[in-house]
Amino acid sequence: MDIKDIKAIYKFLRETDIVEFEVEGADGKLRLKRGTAAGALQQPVFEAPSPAPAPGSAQEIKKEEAEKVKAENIKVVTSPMVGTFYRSPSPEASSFVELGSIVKSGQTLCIIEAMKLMNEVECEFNGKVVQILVDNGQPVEYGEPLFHVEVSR
Amino acid sequence: MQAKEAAEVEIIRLLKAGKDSYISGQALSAALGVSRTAVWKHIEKAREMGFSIEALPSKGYRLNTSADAPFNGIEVSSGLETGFIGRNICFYPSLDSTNMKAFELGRQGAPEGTAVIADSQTGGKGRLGRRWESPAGANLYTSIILRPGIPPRHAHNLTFLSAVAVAETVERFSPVRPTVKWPNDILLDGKKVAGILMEMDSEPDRVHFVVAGIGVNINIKVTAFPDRLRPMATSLYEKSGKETNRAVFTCVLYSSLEKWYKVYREKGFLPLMEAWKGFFASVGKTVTVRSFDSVIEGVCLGVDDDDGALLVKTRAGAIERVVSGDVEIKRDGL
Repeated sequence: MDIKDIKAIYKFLRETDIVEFEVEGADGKLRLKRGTAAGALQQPVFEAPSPAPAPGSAQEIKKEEAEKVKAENIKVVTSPMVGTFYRSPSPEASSFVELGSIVKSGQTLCIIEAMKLMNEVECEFNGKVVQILVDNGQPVEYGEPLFHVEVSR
Repeated sequence: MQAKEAAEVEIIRLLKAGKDSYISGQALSAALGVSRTAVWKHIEKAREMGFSIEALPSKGYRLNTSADAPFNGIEVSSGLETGFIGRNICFYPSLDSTNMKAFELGRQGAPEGTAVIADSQTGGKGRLGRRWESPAGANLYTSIILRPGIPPRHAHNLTFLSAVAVAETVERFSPVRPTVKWPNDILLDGKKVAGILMEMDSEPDRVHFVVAGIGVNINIKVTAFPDRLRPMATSLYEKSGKETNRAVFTCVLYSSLEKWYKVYREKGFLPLMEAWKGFFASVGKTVTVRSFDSVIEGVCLGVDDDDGALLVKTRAGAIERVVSGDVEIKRDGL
């Protein structure tokens, strides 16, 4: 099961009255539950089938990366809203930043568009772009990581 | 209104209120709290700015309303009926882009409601760097700074707010009822009469300000459009067959924006969505949505009331939620 499947199920459930949904496959278990107060579908929760993931598995690598991020003083820039991610102000223009770009506080990293509202996402510290996590023109969720920026000391 | 022109605005407002009658220099000097010589100097300045003001030694001053009124910050300010939108007008005969100027002013801390107007733009822009045709002497190009104090994830609500205000204003001056093309293009008989570009300056959890950039084709003739735009653009003039006073249009637009902004603050997004749907005529029609690297084709089911996302049912039966992209409405019979 990958993120595409989860998204498809998520979309399907939005159109129904189903409040709880669970599916189990060889690679794991997915449980979706609709919130009661707001009536909105909660973020999908992905549970690993075994208590400890095998070394080298996707979860394990993710965990290692998370630790690396913490260790090296790398900050994650996340999306402030649901929308479409653009790396440049127009299709013909060059990107705001590239991998390895040195960025200053206040510098534009990308644009997120939702309903024709363009939001320039700015870097809030001086640093260096060490990872660009989303491809140009792709949809992003609220809070989704967009960049890893190594903060200058 | 820029503070240095406050006296001119007040004089024009008083002369307009006096209709076609004369108002004495003494009355003006009392109303403004300045000397009669100062009044005379302000009258001279207003004349330089294009106002036709007649003076008779025994009677005073009168605004010749049969003469063409100029289009400038004083003319707009003297007709305003709003509390805050347009109370700080920055008017320019020519700018690169009103949105860029408003953004600059926003970052310098300009108050909510500050409005930038240009008679022409050299770099008028639409979504993703597209060009907005902005010749002088014909249309309205204005950008308004809003500071709604909402988190960025709700800021797109303002897209629908501005669309409702522009549609409602166009309706006042057009013999044809406007429709909106998702999310905020305003059409007359299927052709674009106004466009809106919303830009935001924010932190992850706080909107600093939003700039609502509005371009309205008012008195431009369709023959003045570049060839590529002629099949898809129109103007108020083309529909009504007469010129519309741009300052009057601007004042009505600012009043409408302020009205809906208050509704949004007091009652939230739903009333805006309801008003917006009143102008939305694409439900049940076949639409094509082009986004960065995908094309969705299907029947428009409407919009999601929570956030205004466009809902399209594809031929395969899936329901797609669209938050960005260009919508093309297929005409009936095609």
